[in-house]
Amino acid sequence: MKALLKGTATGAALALMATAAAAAGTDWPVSGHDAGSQRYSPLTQINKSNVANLQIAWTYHLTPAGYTGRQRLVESVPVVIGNNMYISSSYGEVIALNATTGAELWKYKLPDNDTPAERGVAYWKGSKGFPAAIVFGSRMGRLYQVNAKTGALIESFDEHGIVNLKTPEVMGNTPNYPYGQPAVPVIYKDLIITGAGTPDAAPNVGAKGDTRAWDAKTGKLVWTFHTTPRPGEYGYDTWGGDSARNRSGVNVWGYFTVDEKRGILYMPLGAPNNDRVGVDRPGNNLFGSSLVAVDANTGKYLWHFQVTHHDIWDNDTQDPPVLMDVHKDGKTIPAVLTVNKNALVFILDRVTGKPIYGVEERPVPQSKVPGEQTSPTQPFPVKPEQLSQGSISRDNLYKGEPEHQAYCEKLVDDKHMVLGSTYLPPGYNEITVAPPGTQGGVNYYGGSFDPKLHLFVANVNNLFQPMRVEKKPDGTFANTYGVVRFWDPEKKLPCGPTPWGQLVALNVDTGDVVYRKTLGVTDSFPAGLQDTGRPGLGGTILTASGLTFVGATDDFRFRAFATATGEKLWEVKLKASVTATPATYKGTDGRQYIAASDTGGSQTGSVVTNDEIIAFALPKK
Amino acid sequence: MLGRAEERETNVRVFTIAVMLAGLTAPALADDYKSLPEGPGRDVTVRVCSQCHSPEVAAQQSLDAAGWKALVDQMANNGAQASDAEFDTISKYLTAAFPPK
Repeated sequence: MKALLKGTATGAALALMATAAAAAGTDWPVSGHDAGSQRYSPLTQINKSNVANLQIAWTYHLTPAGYTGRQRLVESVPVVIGNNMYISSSYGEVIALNATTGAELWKYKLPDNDTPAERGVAYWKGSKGFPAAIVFGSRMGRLYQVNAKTGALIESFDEHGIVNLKTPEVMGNTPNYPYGQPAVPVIYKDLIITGAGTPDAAPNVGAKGDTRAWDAKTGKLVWTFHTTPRPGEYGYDTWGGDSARNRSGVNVWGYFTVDEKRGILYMPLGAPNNDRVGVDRPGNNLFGSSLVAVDANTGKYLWHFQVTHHDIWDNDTQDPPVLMDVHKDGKTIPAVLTVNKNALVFILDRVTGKPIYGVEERPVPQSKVPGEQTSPTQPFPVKPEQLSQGSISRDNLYKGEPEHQAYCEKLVDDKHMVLGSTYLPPGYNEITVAPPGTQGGVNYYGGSFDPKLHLFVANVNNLFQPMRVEKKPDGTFANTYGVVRFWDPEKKLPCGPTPWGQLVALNVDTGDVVYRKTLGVTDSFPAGLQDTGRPGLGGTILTASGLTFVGATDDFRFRAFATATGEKLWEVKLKASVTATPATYKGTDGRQYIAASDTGGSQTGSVVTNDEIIAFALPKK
Repeated sequence: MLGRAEERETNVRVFTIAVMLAGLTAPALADDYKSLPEGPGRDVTVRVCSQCHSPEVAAQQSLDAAGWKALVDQMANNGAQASDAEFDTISKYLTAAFPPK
């Protein structure tokens, strides 16, 4: 690793920086606000009666000086520690800002044209002799540690501040295959725990998706959890023959969570490769598309819950598993909630992994692809109900604006699309649509939890994904329908029924959905037909004053709702869609801020139109 | 129409591509992406596209120059990270490697 350039830290304001010290309750110290990813802030200054007065307090332009290329999607969740905001930028930098003013404190430019993990950075408070640090993975498969005060690489951390994560243990006999780090590392005690970026739709063999823990002081490997079991390990027999060998995928690419009190790490793992064809991997394929709990100190397996057996839908379980207490039958149950692209909500005892509201294995349709051994059943929660739409038919395509309605009917008829429900397998030589699909439901941003109202709140997408498997010349099979959504791609109008986007709240103590509110508008439609909801990526945050903030949708809107009722209280139209989860914190001026990346861009159709981090606050008194 | 490029059917392209590649593929590749023929821009295509998905997904499409540019633009909005010059190189490589049938 010594051959690596070290990158550069710059910052005119270094001398002015105070030591970053986390302020209890007023910071946003990790991407999910807390280790359990409730994304619930105790701040109350912004409330239902004044939220409509919010103004943009500051903006920060992410485009580096001298940069002349196209603007880029930045979806990083800001981390705020003691008035310092830290973000990862897809322009190849990690940036520290004054969270109250937006003034730049320092920037670290990654070497070798590397870029930091798109989902954000983590903060390690340091230890005796080791300074507080910002920790992040990168697209080139490295783990960086820079000084939180200065942005300089920390020399004592492995090789001059950088760990090469592309080790033989995970790269195997494919050392040149891609391996990155889209996920935010999770910090537990003095461990840095990393996921893996093993590309979708990839060759079946390649880099492994293992989860690993590294000593935050030295960068040395502490433990490894084999997300695809090796011979003799638990779960190996869920892979036919030796199909687990060299298998790529089964990786955490979203957000981990930790029960810090119990020392349990929750890993939301993706599908095995190939994620649309499983002919060469018969069996349920543990721990593919599973939520897995391990001892955070050692990586020792504790329990797992597989959301999708033998995943051939790219369902993944990438959402941050949300930790909460469920009050049921006079008991308080420590719980973890997982909801993902298939929008099925599983609420489990987070110590045992047992479902709190019951799970049924229900028969599902079988694949017609030769050799594909579809699981005969899939798990469905008895409660709650599926958060998104779960089926589509010729009779309930979009209805409303006549031209688009006709487009959708023609699309389905001309292409002889087979429409069905969540576990309709990818078609063989025919196009199938199985809602919600790989861009539907709840994607990597996940949901939030209000512990006072006992409500889980998430925005969901009803944007489906046609799929078709064909035989390739070499005799193998692949999904050949490309990056196509179930919509008019030119106008970005989905062909399923409205709403195309929703804000949904779920009472975790009863398992009941308490409201569904249409989220997003189609500006291109005539008045009276615009209230369609819109797809989007980026999650909700909640405050103790009973507010929900969310952007996400591709209509440039950012909004506040009453968490208890879903009533919309405030909305602003911005320069770009907020394809990111916001953060809220208290500034040094005593004001509460709501900050988010506002660049636009997403896999649900939003276009990059801006380069700003924006922060809202109430007017100064 | 340019914006419709991503929706184009693929039908029998996988078979015809294989025939095409038989004449294009160099004997030794630095990786196992056998369906991507050698040519200017192959390396940057593999590097940029493989951050999120197998670059061989491209081999399942057959588009003209405008179609590939539209698809590459879409990928930039999806989060693909490259310079403008690199995106241009990728579009040209894909246009040469996987032209319309």
